[in-house]
Order: sequence, then C-alpha cells, then structure tokens
Amino acid sequence: MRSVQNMAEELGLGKVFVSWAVEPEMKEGRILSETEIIVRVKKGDKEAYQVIVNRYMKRAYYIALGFVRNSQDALDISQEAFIRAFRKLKKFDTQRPFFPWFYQLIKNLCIDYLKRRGQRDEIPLNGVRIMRTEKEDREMKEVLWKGINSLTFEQKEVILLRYFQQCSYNEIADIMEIPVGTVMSSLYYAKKRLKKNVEKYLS
Amino acid sequence: MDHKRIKELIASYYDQELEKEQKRIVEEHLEECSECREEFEGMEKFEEVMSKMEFKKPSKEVWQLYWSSVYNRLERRIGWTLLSIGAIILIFFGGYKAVEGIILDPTIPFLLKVGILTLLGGGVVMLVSLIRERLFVRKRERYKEVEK
Repeated sequence: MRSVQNMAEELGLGKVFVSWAVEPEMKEGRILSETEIIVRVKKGDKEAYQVIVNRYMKRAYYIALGFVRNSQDALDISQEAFIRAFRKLKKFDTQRPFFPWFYQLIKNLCIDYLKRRGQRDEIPLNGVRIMRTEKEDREMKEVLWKGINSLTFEQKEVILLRYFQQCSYNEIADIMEIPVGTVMSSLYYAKKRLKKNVEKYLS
Repeated sequence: MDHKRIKELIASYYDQELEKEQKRIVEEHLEECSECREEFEGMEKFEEVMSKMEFKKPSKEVWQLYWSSVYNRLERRIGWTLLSIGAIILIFFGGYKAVEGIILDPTIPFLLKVGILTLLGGGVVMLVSLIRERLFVRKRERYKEVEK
C-alpha cells in the first residue's frame, strides 16, 4: 500500500509539506518518549523535530503573545525560538525536561524583542462574558490587560502561566526555576494588584 | 496565623493548590473574620473572571502551516550560513592573492606598497575588533536591565 508520503512525492510535492499528515511518533509501532525523540533530533532528524514543534507550537505562540502583545510578532518569535532550539539542542542535556529549557529560550527572545522594538500593543484577550453590556466587557478586558502589563516581570510570568497556560504551581516552579513558595507569594501579590484594578467591575 | 499568611492562602484557595489542613485553616478563619470573608468573596469573583479569559485564537491555517514555516526558515538559515562561510573563504583568498600581487609587483613604488598594505591591515584590525565586540561584549551585557 502506498503511503501518503510516497503519493505526495510522486506528485512532486515536497516531503515537508505533507509530513504533518504522518506521525513519526508512531513509526515503529510504538509511541516514543520525549527523551527518545529529543535524542533523534540531536542527531539531526528533522522529522522527529516536527513532533516536538507540533506538540509545543501553541504553547510557544501564546507565551510569546503574553510577552510581546502582538499576534504577528508572537508567531514570528515563537518560530524563531524553535529554529534556535534546534541548533542549540546539540548541547542540551536530555536528562532535563525539554519545555522549561525551551521556555527560557523563548522568554529571552521576547525580552530582546521588547528592548529592540518598543511596544506595539494589541489587546489579545477574549472570553469575558460576564458584564451586562459588550462595552463594559471590552472596557474590563482593557483594564485587566493593562493591569497585567503593569506587573513586575516575575508576577506577569506567573499570571500568564497560571491563567493562560493552566499550569499548576509545581509546573510554574519547574518552568521558571524558582521555589513553589515563591510562585505562591508572587501570585498572591499579582492577584492582589489585578483584583484592585478590576474591583469596580466585580461588584 | 497572621492575616497576611491567611490572605496568601485565600489567594491560592481557588487554584486547588491548598492541602486539606490549609483549607481547614482558611475555612475556620473565615467564620470568625469578616474582613477575610470579604476578601474571599472578592477572590471568588476575580477567579471567575480570570478563568473566562483566554487569548484570541489565530486561524487554523496558522497551525497547519506552522511546521513547514519553521522547516523552511531552518533550511534557509543553513543555506545562509554555508553561503557566508563560502563568501568569507573567497574574500580571504582574494585578499591574500591581492596582497601577494602587490608585494611581488616590481612596478609599484615601495611607498605605495607600504601605504596599501597599512590601509588593508587597519581595515582587518577594525573588522576583527567589531566582530569580537558583537560576539562577546553584547552576549555578557544582554539581560542586565531586566527586572526580576
């Protein structure tokens, strides 16, 4: 039986463009662990890297969006992070989990970007449907987003990870490489400030 | 237990991160402290709002084309690196040949030879210095100003 890949190659389509249709993960009849996939990537296996990219692309995009506040730049930065990660993976210790390492990389790219370009602000928030009118909803979203951006960098990180990545305290601690106690107190101060900002909408 | 600590626990209450014992402490405290009760109720509304928040989703095509975009950029980057290395080798070879030619050419006056070679030497020193600054100094200074 011909595979999708073979058919595509016969049609003259590049290997790349259809390869998201196959699952390298399942290639040898079993699911590879992340460490095994990373080991393959380190040897230069781009198809294995596709698995990693597909797995983390959404998280990468939304993390960048939280920092740079602009969807086009967030997409660009998240892709750049995957390109840099691919090249830096050679030095990566496979005993460590991939995502916290990758998070630091993407965060640094965002910091560089913010220093270089200043800010092109959007309000990238969705989903508030608790106010009576749409105008009030929009207003609150703006206040909240401004509030998030006025937090210290660490507070902003914990808020973004907690509410927009749905991470647990332990996960946040791993990703940010800080103790769980610090996560808890950072979140406390951040929530306190944000709550104060949106207080009039809550009553 | 002091108020600040209780308030910290209250802030974590809706994150489902408290242990049984901590939950019990909060609940007991709330029964006797109206200030903290108010804080608790406010937090509930705040959490409700925050849990409804999400980022705007990009179109589906963004995810479908994501990998091919990363792959193409990666490939182009490799091409670009090879091109740069090739260009550097050719420039150095050309430069070497030119210098050799100038030194060996008996028709060029001695002073002109010295002038041209000094000029080239200065250029090379400046280029190397610039590259070194780019590679090392910037790397070290990078995240100094970041607020932690």
